[in-house]
Formats: sequence, structure tokens, C-alpha cells
Amino acid sequence: MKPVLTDKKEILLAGYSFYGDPFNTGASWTEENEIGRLWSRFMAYFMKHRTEIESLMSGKEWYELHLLHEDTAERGEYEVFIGFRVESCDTLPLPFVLKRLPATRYAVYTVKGDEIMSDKAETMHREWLQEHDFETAHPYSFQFYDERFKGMDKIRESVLDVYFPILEKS
Amino acid sequence: MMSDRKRILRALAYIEENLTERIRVGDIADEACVSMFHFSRMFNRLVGHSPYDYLMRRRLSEAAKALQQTDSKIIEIAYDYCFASPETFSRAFKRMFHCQPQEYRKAGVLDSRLLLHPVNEELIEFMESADLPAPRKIHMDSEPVLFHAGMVHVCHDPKSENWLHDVRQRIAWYASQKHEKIVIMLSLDDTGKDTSLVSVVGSLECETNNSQRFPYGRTWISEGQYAEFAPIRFKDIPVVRDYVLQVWNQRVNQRHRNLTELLLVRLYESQLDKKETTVISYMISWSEMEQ
Repeated sequence: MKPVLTDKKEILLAGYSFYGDPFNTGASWTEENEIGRLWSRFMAYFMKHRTEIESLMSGKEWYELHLLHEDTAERGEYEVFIGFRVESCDTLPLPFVLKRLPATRYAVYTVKGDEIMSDKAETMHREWLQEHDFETAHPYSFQFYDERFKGMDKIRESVLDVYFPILEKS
Repeated sequence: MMSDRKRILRALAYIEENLTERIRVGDIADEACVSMFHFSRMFNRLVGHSPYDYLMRRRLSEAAKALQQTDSKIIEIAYDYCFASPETFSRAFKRMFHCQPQEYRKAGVLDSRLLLHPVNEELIEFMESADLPAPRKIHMDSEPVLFHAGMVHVCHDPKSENWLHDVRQRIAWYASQKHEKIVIMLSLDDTGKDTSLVSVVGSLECETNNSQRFPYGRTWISEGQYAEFAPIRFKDIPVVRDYVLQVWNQRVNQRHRNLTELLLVRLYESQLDKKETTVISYMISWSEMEQ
């Protein structure tokens, strides 16, 4: 599968964050691993303060960001952030953290059903990079969840986009 | 495209080749040719440990063997296995084995069941395919076990087909003597420094057997809490033991340093020579330390 290449302006995200090895307690696509727990905590807060948060949201989509830090290679620990797009950071509730994704070009892969569970986008992107004159622009990737994603219990009917920041090799 | 299993086998081989080198988890993911995100998920799913936890436990396990089998100074062993200082090594060692390296060396006995051995393809296949058995916490009373003197078996490799075959033969003998509840008690042979496992195959004693004399002997099941994994097929005993000792037992913070393992067997005479002989449950002592 070829990725779609797209340029995006800076993206401002607000949400919750985890740092560590998120699969240490459960490796499958269930809510038992740390990513699942992060979503649960985040959605619980969202449901409780829905009106307030919806007034901050720029769009109805959700983002799951995987961010490699400088010490990630040592222990395999990294940051997982989930959140939504905002226009500004002036009135964010205290539990939220902010991520400012730089303006960049992305390789975008659309995956569905079992492809989501098998991390197919990661594998495809790695192979695509090897065959093309592009490299990783920034040490993160994100999953973009919109109305095509039907939920963890209906993952086989779900679709999501995975974005990888890329840069032409100089 | 390389399968997840092949990638993991490649990563595991790379770890084994580099236990004494300063490798990072990022290097292992690169060796497996996958991103950190995919690698982390894949490794946890198929190996049952996070990559970093596995690397550290493998280093500690080899360091523990070196403590027993060599005269090297503890500080040298610590540096050989990439620990930044003897203090860091001692702390990590105590977390895994519940004692200091000095105590371990002095004790002179190495229970191979506490070590993390290199994970093999059979265990990966089991982790990949099986609904992993979840343990049930049960209490066992101190029940007497009647055993025939010829039914005690010392084994150097409980993963081998020979061990299974011997145990099966002994079970068949008890069945032929009309014993119904057959138990296999597994314990470390602490008379030596090797990794031998002693299997005592016996029957849970009933009243009519109280008058039994030599060559019968009597031993007792240790009273206490056990984790029970059931039901398990007879042929799966080695891989289930491997899973429990290599994955489950390394995750729970066991208070025990001397593990007791029990296999309770129910079998039917018509099944004696058939592979579907059923093992009702595999049990291992379970007493967690306070966090």
C-alpha cells in the first residue's frame, strides 16, 4: 500500500499523556494495557466535563500520538499522548497537557480491521522509507480517529489513518 | 515480509549474543527491523516481558550462574553484565532473587526455576496461539502422599520427552494399583549444585493405604496458597511449566524462594496408553511479597 503524502500546518493538541512501556501489562489491543487505561481515564474526564471540553475542541476527531524521547532507545520507553485539536491553550483544564506538532509533510496510511491490530502501517512505512528518498522528519507518529473508527469492540469494522512525519533526503 | 515470530527470534538471538555488551532496546528493535511501538507490543505479547525487563533478567540470570560457577569477584560480574555499579547490580539482583549476590553465592544452591532462561520458539508458539491460562488462587491442606520408593525420579531436563515418558509410566503403575488421585510433586534437588528436579509420583493417601510398608513411603503436600492452572493436557506440561516459571512467576512478586510444584492427575484406565490422558491441574506455591 502506498501512503498518501500530505502537508500539514502546525497542529495544537490537548490531552493526557503516559511515559513508559505501555504494553508491559498487556500487549494486545485491549483496554488492559497502558494505552487502554490512558483512553479510559481521558474519556472518563471527557464524559464528566463534556460541554466544557467540546467548547475547546476544534473538530470532533481524536489523536493518539507516539513520541520517542532522547532516552527511548535505552529502555524502550516512550510517550503516548491522546487528545484533540485546539485553537489555543489559554483555557485548558489543569489535567491536560499540550502538544504542538510542527508544520511538516506526512506519509499517511489508512488501515482497517485486522490491519489496525497488526500494526501494519508501521511495517509498511518502514518498508516505504527504505525504498524512497525520504527520512523521518520528527520522532513521532500519530493515529487519527474520526467517525470511521467504531470503537474497540468493533475494531474489525473500523478504519483509521496513521501519520508519519517525513522529510526528503538532502 | 518477515513474520512477528521470526522478528522476535532474531531479537532474542541478538540479546543472547550481546548480554555482556552495552546494547539498548532501540538496537534490539533495529535488529528486528520494526519501529519501537510495534516492537514493544510484539515483544510483550510473544515473550511475556517488556524488552528491557527481559534484557535485565537475562543479564541477572547469567550473572547469578557466574556467581555460582566462577570465582570472579562480584564487582567484576556486575561490570561484565553491564551494571553501572555493584550497588545497582545488588539492587536489581535482590529484586529478582530476593537476596543479595553475596548471600546467593554463599548459599551454594542454584534453583534454576528462578532464573530466566532464553525464551525458545516453543514458548513463543504457545504465547502466540494459546489463550494463556489464568491462575486461580487456592489453599492446599497438608495432605499425605503415599509413594512407592521406585517412583522417585531425579531429572536433569524436565523439558525432555524422556521426563514426560517416565512420569507417564509411573502414573500408569499407580493406576494399575487402583489408585485414583495421583499427584506428582516437583522440587529442587538441593543436595547438589546442579539443576536437577526431583519428581515424586504418588497417590493422595486413603485410609486403606495406611498399613502400607516398605517399599512405600509417605510425604506431605506443603500447606499453603497455590496458583492453580487448569485444565492442562498431559503433553503440554513442559510448555505450561515453562510459561508459568518463565513468564507468570517472574511477574508476580513471590515471597517463596523454595517453590513447590504439584501436578494433580485424573486418568481413566482406558486412556493409559493414549495421549489424551488428562492432567487436571498444575499448581505452584503462590505467596506474594508486600509491594
